Amino acid sequence: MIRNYIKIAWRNLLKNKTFSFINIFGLSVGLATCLLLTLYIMDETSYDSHHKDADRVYRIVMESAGEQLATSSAPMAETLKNEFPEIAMTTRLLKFPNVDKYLLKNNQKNTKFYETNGYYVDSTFFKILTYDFKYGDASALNGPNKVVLSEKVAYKLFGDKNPLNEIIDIEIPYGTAKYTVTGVFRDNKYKSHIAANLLLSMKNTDIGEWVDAQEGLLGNNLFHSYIKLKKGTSIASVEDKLPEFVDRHIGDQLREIGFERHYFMQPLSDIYLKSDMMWEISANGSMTYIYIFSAIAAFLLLIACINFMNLSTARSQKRAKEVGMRKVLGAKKEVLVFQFLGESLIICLIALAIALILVILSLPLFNAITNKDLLLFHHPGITIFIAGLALLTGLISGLYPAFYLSSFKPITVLKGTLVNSISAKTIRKGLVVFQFAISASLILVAGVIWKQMDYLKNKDLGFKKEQQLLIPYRSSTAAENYIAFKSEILKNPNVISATAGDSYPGLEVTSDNSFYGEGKTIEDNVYTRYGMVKDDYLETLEYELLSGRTFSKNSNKDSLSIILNEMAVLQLGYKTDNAVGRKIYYEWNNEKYDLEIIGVIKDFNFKSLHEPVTPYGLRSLGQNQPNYFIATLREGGGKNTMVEIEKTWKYINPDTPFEYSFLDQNFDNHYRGEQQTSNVIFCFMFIAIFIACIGLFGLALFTTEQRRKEVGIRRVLGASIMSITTMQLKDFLKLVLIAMVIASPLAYYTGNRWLQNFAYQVDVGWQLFVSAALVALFIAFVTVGFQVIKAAIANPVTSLRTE
Amino acid sequence: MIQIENLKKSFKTEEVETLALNNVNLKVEEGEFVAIMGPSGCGKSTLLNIIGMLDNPNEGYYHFDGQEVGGLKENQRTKIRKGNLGFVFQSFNLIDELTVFENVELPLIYLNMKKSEREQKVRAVLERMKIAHREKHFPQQLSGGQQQRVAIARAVVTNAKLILADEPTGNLDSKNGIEVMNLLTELNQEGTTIVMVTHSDRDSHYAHRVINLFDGQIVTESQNKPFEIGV
Repeated sequence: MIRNYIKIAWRNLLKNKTFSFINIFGLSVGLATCLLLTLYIMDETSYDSHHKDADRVYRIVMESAGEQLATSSAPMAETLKNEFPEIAMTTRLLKFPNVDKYLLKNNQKNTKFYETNGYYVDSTFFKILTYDFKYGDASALNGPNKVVLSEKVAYKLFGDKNPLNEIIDIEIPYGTAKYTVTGVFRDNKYKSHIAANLLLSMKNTDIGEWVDAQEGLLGNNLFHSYIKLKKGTSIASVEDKLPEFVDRHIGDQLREIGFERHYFMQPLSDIYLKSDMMWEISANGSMTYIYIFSAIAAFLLLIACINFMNLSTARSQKRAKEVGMRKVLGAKKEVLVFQFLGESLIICLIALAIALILVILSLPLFNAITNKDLLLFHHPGITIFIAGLALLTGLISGLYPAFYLSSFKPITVLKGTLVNSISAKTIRKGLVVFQFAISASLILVAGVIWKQMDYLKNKDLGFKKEQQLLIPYRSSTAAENYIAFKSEILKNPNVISATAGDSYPGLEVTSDNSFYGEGKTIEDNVYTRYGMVKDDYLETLEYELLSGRTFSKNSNKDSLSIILNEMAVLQLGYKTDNAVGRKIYYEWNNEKYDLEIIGVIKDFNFKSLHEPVTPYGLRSLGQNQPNYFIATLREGGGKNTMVEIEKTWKYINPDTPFEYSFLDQNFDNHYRGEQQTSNVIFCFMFIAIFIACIGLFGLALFTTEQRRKEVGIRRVLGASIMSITTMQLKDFLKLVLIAMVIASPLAYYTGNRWLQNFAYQVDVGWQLFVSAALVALFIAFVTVGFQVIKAAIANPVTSLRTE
Repeated sequence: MIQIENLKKSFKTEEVETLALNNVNLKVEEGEFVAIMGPSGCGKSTLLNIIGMLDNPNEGYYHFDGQEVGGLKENQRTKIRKGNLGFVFQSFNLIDELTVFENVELPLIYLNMKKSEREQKVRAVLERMKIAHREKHFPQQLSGGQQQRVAIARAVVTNAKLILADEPTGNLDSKNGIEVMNLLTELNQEGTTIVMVTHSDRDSHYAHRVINLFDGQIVTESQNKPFEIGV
């Protein structure tokens, strides 16, 4: 019996090549995209699931002065452990501010290179967080000046040999120190929110002294602190006692500076997908995107399944005789349902095989778009998932046709009087509308994203981000040479202006304070962040000075001056035209200090457009060392400019490698997550439209075939080709229009939800909906037009004869 | 074998109700060959469908082999149909995707017969219908007469007691038509009961008895040749 089914399924496939192709190809593409997205989702949700006792590990985070911080102060973890019996162990990770690269040197092999993602951690780090050690073990960082490397970095430094107990030099702008390699971990096995390349002992001879000097729970919240609970204790009991703990230790200080602060315990497994705070170790994933991608995966597969359902039921007449005859010969309905379900499963299996090939072929591209390193069979669960997916797809696409086909009455079908019933036609139309509503929603959402991305890239931020060269100071000797390098580089006609600062727009601002204006108290403080800059900073970045002056060339003169933005001035109780010359105050250890406002600049976006403008200021670095050199290059200056600048750098700073980037590129990195997602959405939007279109094509092929006789009769009676074409086109286009109407509010809602991620949003506008409708209509027209016109211009005599 | 009393069947559309069969009484003995005749739309095919248990009557009784089957559900009817009844249609109704052999084999599959046994039976019946040489061909590759022979083969392969033929020669030329009628007569002589609907006077002469239907009622009945029980 089964053989008979397989045989008939196979022969049906071969006999109707166009429909088989549409079905199998549509399902293959649907399954392939579904698999790709599943790989992505599986990867994203696998973060930090490997840690032993992960459910007992929490990160101490806080909400302070309206900001969420992923960090806390140096003694926080230890103090908590001393007071809370529930806590078994704690560890800390320090991402040292303004050190984003480490110069690693293996003097024996004379290798040196920069490496990112280096973190200082406590010796207990590996006892709380699980790493897959290739060499060494969890006790690797017991003792000062030890370093654990990722396999990749170890290979770059030492090649294949076991590097344990080798000594390397690690240089940061604050000096160079010797570290002993005590461990190597495999970096691609486990995914973690800590994507480390090197983990260094917190006890060390370069920044160790600074770490040890950190006292008090209030300030310098730079440490990622993790706690591990004892077995059988609950986090709730710790959280319950936290407010009292905070009040007892720093309550007075907080009230003094006018801050409100709450601490929270964040589960380790929540960090990667659910945490987006200030000072995250690196950019995290997002649950929103998991939802978006899951929805797209499900929708794509559904669209492909609907093609299958529609084509199977539309073509049911071709199978009706078979159904009737089988019933006459004694087949029960259940047996037929089983047969047709089996057929759709067979088709799904063929589609799955093709889908797997498609996935393997497209994985490199998908990895490039999503910035991942996904492998098809990396995750152990994937095989079961694939099998389940094929089964599910077979069932979804096969159930309705199976019941529809097997419910035919033998008499009707054998007499040949079966017409596609009205209800079946309605369901089919409904399904087409549903498909196109999904496609149209994707077109619309993609449109919203595209508009917003365009807006982000082109919005006037209040400073000039184009043609701005950034050179990081990786060593203090180079920073000391600031003036020499600046005067030398300005001799180059292609360099317009140059300056330096502790940061640049777009970078997280490390300096902040609570200021209050004249005649006010600390109660009225305004939380203000500020950058520390050298002279010519405002001129180089082209900030608009509304009143007052910029910093003077005499670096000592402005040590007690501040330039504020409009927002800060306003909140401090001044106006743009009367603020210059006025004082602002702050307090530290019960002492009151003041600064003089020397200028007011127009509000600008010092961070990404995800966030609104807040009070901001600029202060003079004085004699202090900057972290970044910034220069404006002349547009069209050519490649030579960079070569010459590098030459100048090497002449003045022979020991510090030359590295650079451009401000606009760095700024665009803020939107990399969005860019990546929009790339993925764009890709899958095209795929969705494509699958829906081949389905529509198949349906058009079928309907026109079915209406051949009708068209023939109409032609004989004198209908023009034009009127017949429009008559048939109207039917299809109507469905697409209904789909647009359904999709619009859906897409409007989704698009707006996504836009909430940004403080500055583009207006969605009706034009988008109209253009999306036109695009959808055009696509549908192109898809069905050919078939319809072909049917209309066919010789009516042939159409009638073949009936 | 077949006993029908006061049978009524009507079809309803949204506006009109058409009475297709009205108070039909009919008895068919085992081994008999009965032809049903009448103009188009008189209810011939409806009667045949009810006899074939493809449809249920609205009123009246239908005893098949002593069992009341008029009110049975689809699945119960299917059960009785399997193996007992064979159908031959004007348009053959062979499954295009199956070969001659596979088409004939199909009813045996639904009887859950073993493969070897099936093969043997199908071969035998194909030999008998003189179509064995085309067993690997698909229906479209055969002439009309050949297709109908395959259809008859399919009807008798289960050793059906009753063959219901709905204008079996309607789509055939006279030479092929005669051949098919001879085959049916042969089967009848071997004991198979046959009920045939036909428009053709020539074909009706092959039957023992001819029943004339008009507007859903039996109007005349005539005996062509003697039929004796047990012949």
